[in-house]
Amino acid sequence: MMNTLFINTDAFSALNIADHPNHTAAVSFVSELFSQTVKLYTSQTVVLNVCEKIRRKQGYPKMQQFLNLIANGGFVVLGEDQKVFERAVARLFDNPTSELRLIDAIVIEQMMEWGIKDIFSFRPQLKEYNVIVWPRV
Amino acid sequence: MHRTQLFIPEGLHSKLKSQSLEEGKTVSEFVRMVLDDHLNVHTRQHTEKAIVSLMAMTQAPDDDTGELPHPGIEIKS
Repeated sequence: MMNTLFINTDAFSALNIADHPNHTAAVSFVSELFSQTVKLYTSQTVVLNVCEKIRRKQGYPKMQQFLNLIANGGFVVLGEDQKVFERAVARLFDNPTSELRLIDAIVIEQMMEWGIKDIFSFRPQLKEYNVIVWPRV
Repeated sequence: MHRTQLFIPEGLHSKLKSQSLEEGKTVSEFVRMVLDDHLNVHTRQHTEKAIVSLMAMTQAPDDDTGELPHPGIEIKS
């Protein structure tokens, strides 16, 4: 059972973009969340990234809808400070062969900073960084 | 177990003392129980709100008007 859950960029994309390959799986996972009492986190970096993706793929009104739901929807939106950014960049340089995305490195550092273990994402490779990836496959 | 000092008004302290007696608990146990219940309800309300928001993100525009549910209205503080 999880108490906190971080929502990653790809999970938001899967929910917002109807023809996304993980759309059905994302909706199904969110339906299951109703039975849990869990605090939902995301971050400003994630929101920025998703906003741009939605704007490009689905237009400005859909992006506004997403932003409105983020701002008023009961999420905790974490800010990224300089230390988190520096640690994330160092993580990329320490593991040059892992091909970790900078945004995922930032997310991992933010999760560590806030003691969050669970993440909603469709990138199974995140398991390598001591986080629990949902939905489980 | 952490130790926390709370400063509360005299009236509230008397109320806590009498209610904890009625429940057969110490004041500490009673306050822990009340806080735990309150935090669970609080988190649950946030959970429900956030999950409803996640589900709203999946909704398509209206077939007739093309309008999105929860459009980009003003951001409430």
